[in-house]
Amino acid sequence: MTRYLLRRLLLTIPSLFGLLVVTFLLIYIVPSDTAAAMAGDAATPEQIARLRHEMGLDQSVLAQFGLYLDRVLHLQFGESAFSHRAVAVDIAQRLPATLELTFFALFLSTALGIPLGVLCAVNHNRWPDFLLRFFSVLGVAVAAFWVAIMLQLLFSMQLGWLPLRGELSDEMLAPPRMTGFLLIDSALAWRWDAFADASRHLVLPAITLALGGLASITRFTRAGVLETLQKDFVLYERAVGYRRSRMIWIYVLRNSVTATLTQIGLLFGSLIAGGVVVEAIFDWPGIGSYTVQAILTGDHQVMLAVTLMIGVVYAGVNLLTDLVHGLVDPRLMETA
Amino acid sequence: MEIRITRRQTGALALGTLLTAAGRARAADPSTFLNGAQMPMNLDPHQVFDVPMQGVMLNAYDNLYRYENDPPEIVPWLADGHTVSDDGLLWEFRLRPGIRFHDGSEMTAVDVVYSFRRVLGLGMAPAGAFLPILKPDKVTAPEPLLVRFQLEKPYAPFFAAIPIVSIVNPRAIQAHEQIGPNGTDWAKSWLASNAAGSGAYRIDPASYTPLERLDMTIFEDHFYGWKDNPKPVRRIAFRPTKETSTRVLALLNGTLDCTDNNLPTDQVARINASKNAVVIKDTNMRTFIVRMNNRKPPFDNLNARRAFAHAFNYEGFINDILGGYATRDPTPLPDTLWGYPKGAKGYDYDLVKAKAYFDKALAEGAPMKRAIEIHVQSENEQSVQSAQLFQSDLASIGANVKIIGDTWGNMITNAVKPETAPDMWVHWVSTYFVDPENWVGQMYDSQFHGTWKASSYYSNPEVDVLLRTARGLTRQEERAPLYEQATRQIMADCPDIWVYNSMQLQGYSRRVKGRRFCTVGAGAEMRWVTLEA
Amino acid sequence: MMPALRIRDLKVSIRTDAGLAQILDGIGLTLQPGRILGVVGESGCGKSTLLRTIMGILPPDAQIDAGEIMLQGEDLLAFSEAELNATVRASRIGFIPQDPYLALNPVFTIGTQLLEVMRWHAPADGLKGAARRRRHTEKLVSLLRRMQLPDPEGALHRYPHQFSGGQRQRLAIAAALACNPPLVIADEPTTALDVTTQAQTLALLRELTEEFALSMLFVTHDLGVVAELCDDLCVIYAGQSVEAGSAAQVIDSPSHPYTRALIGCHPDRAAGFVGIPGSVPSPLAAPQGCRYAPRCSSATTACTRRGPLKLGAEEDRFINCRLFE
Ligand SMILES: Nc1ncnc2c1ncn2[C@@H]1O[C@H](COP(=O)(O)OP(=O)(O)OP(=O)(O)O)[C@@H](O)[C@H]1O
Ligand SMILES: [Mg+2]
Repeated sequence: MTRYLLRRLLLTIPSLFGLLVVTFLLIYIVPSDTAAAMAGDAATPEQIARLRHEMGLDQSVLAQFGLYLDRVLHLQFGESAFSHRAVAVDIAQRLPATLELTFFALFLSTALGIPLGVLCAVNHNRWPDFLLRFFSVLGVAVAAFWVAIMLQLLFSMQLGWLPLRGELSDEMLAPPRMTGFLLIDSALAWRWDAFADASRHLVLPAITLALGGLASITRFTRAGVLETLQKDFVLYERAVGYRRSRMIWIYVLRNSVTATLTQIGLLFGSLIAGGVVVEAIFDWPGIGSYTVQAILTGDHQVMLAVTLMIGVVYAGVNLLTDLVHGLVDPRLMETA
Repeated sequence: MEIRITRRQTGALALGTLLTAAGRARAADPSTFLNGAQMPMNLDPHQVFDVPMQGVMLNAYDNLYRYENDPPEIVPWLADGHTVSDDGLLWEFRLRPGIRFHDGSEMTAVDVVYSFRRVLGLGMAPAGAFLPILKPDKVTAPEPLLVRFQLEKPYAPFFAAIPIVSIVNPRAIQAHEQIGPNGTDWAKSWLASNAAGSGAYRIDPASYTPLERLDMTIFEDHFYGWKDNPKPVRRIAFRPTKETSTRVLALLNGTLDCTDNNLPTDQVARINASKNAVVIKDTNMRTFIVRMNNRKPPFDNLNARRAFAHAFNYEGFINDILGGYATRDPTPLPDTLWGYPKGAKGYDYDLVKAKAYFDKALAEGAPMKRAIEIHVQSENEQSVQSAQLFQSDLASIGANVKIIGDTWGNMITNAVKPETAPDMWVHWVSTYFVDPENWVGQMYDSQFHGTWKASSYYSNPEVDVLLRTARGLTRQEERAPLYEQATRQIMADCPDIWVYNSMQLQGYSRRVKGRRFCTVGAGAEMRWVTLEA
Repeated sequence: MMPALRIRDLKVSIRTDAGLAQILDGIGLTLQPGRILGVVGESGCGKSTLLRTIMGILPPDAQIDAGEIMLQGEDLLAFSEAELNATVRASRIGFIPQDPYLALNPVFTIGTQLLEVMRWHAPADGLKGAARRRRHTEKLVSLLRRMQLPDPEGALHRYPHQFSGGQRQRLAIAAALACNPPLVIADEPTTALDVTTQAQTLALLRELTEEFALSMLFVTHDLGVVAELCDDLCVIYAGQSVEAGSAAQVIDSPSHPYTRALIGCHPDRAAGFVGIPGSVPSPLAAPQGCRYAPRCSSATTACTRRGPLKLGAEEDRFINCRLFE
């Protein structure tokens, strides 16, 4: 198992390198000029040219890539062309917020999606299945944007139960920053008022973000359970008198979640992408808005670093998925 | 009677109280202004100069002169007056005594000199107006409170541009400067996230997350004093809200005191209908224009340009797309600015005339039917919509226009050469300084060819003379008629299509009182504001 | 003596996309206590369907059209699903699957799976919780030891794929016996095994029947296995019982034309291989009357007009053929 994971870990290095190359090329193909954007719209062409030179943008792509790689290997990720802050510092500041949101959303969609998927499968082609499938199609089709606004209108504006935006109320003193995860920091500092406030801020964005994932996890679980229900061992387990509910929720489910687990790994990526919209709507101070801003302004260092970081997180999550896979299905540990 | 409550009911009750307690509209903190407008890319007023920066520089920094009121007047601020030599080359500004920076140190002329040299040295956005006429060593401090500028050539708009430069505290900055082979870096990384000002509010660097949040607290010892406003805002919390809909909702539920100043027109009615917010409407000086590349056929032909100018549906665009929140301005100058040619008629939307000019140009051999590209900022809806509207009208007279989505950075980079400049492109010209030079001067004097502002590559020697003369004179009464005359001539030559002068729409909480609008700062100066309990 | 299992005139059909398929069309058999009854038939003749009907685990689109399944005098068809689960499966009928590799859950240990069965169906001896589980574990371990499984304690913590085919089959047999059922039904339990292992398994089954005083219904398509293991024999063709009797008697002197042909086919018996002309009819379009008639060289028009008759005085000996009317 350890060797298996180690090999997977080594395999991620070339993929991260490929990711960097592609990102680098993409950045150079897309028409955006950091120097022009940085100089502002009152700048003269001379000012822009000077900035280009200072930033090394007048060198060849290959030379620039070489320089960049060299710095990345030394764990230097450069600074934002605009805020002049070390990208690593900015990311470290924002990533926890995104991860907190993403994990919570992932948790929600998994915790709800798996049981719903099982319900669908068990009631295959009966009304609960149709109903849930209808909603899961809806969940995929309906834009997060729209859902978010509806949730805001209902829970923040009409009922006033939950906050509209941000991750902490303005008048709430933030807990001392330790991990960067607001909930964890609040708990560590024994600040339950901040914990409650932060949790309440988490609800709407997490629900919005969870919806798309919920739909796909439901579908994958449903498919997985349906497939497992065709297996001989189900028939055998029935023949030897397993309790139906235990058979479904324990013995069948564990065989079915492998596909779902893979899906959760993939979902993590799409949640980070979907987080861009959600973070914008709910003013979540995470990586999403940082990235969008970087793309709009052509902030290359930020774009590269964020891509790399997402790549690393993604690889990490997939490694984790592999690990869980191994725990769920003992056969994998040996064959791999 | 006995009231019996089951355990489940107790639970529901507790949950209910929790939720309602949480949701109860809290009494808004009467000392904190929650600002929902956009934040600048960083906090250094010498690196960034745009509308969002006004919220930082007008509050955390001071300048020698400052624009106040509407229409804007330039008023003494840190300086209590200035003199200018007859040849317009030597300018002297006298500082008020006893001005203190946030760190308690006193501001002297040396600090002003440092600030201007830093602007010139960094050479970024705020430097644009000064680089051609001012050398760093020509800013001096002959006396502790006297700053002297020796210009390379007479340049009347120099004075109009003075408010661009925020005065910074070198004692706070210098420790962070890094000296490289090209000299100092002016601590540009440090000041981007920190502050070194003297303004009415003091930046709390610890609160700063770029583009995300920033807190400022009142500076009691501000040189201007607080006698004009006995109950000022004590804390400004910048909480820029990215999504328009969220921003508006936050304004409506009292968690923001203002939106950005680009409120979409379709939100106006909704905000005005609410009981705790209102939309404030101000005319600013920001003109919207469709550029034509006068060097590229058919735009080298006057009749061709006129055909295009008559084919833009000005009223339709302003009324239908902008909901009427803009004023039709048929000239390159904002209609509220001095030097504006009063009664100028300009071009109207008339497809019959357009067609007539079109045919005339065609007869003169202009390639009227070639595919013409119009570049827009893809992420800016208005710029796209204007091009779409234009495209359909032009199609009806026989012109073939293609809309190309582009970015601002790319467009201004391409605009610096007539060969690479687009056939047409769409943009705004904002107020960098309040002077006709900011518009007609820099847009139509042929000496500016090679800058994006002059990217129609229009050249008329007669206009050049008028604009250059006006630039060299210092008195507004003498300059105004020259700009008027030049503008009329430019309009006759029709190098571009001038559409409107903007109106700024900004949602405010009704508790905000005393706001003063000035187009240059876009109403971002907070020292006048009081929050009603 | 009351038969351990008696099935009469069982008819089961399945609704398919192509129409109603009459899978079982008159199955009858009798299993006397303490005996091993072999049920023989070609692939697809409905053996597994018969067992699924007995266990009450037919697919949802199947329906039982007629017949009765008497388990020690009680008609299982009258049992509800809950009753079957609570009182019959595992505790009164042990089940040995066709291929234990597919039948065992791949992601749970043997211990988990077998104890799950015992938890609900094995006698608890008044114990509860951990104590009951301990008792069950002890019993299971001794059972596995009896099955000659190496390291029975360790086996509980291993997964199905970590055993050999023969070991897995012995695990499945242990599972079937774990709750002390008087009756065991086995669905071709040795088909997936090699000849040596098959012989060992059959010997084990034989021993166990005596040791545990079991009655066993043993389904197979292999007459050789029947000859080796079974006391009695019931031959099925296309969902119909065609002939039953003591194993030795039927194999030595088959009466029904199908049985005769089948035994003629058996490589051990036939001097030369004599195939049966034609093919097994599809249950969707089964012939009227005797289903074997179209392939039967002795068939008369009477065979297609009405169903085969049941002959013989005793229920466990019969020949369903009009020729013997
Ligand atoms: N769920 C089902 N739907 C439709 N037809 C079925 C279904 N299950 C079984 N059948 C059909 O019923 C017939 C009997 O199948 P069954 O599995 O009982 O045969 P078998 O004698 O056990 O065969 P084998 O020796 O191959 O295991 C076959 O023709 C099969 O195609
Ligand atoms: Mg079978």
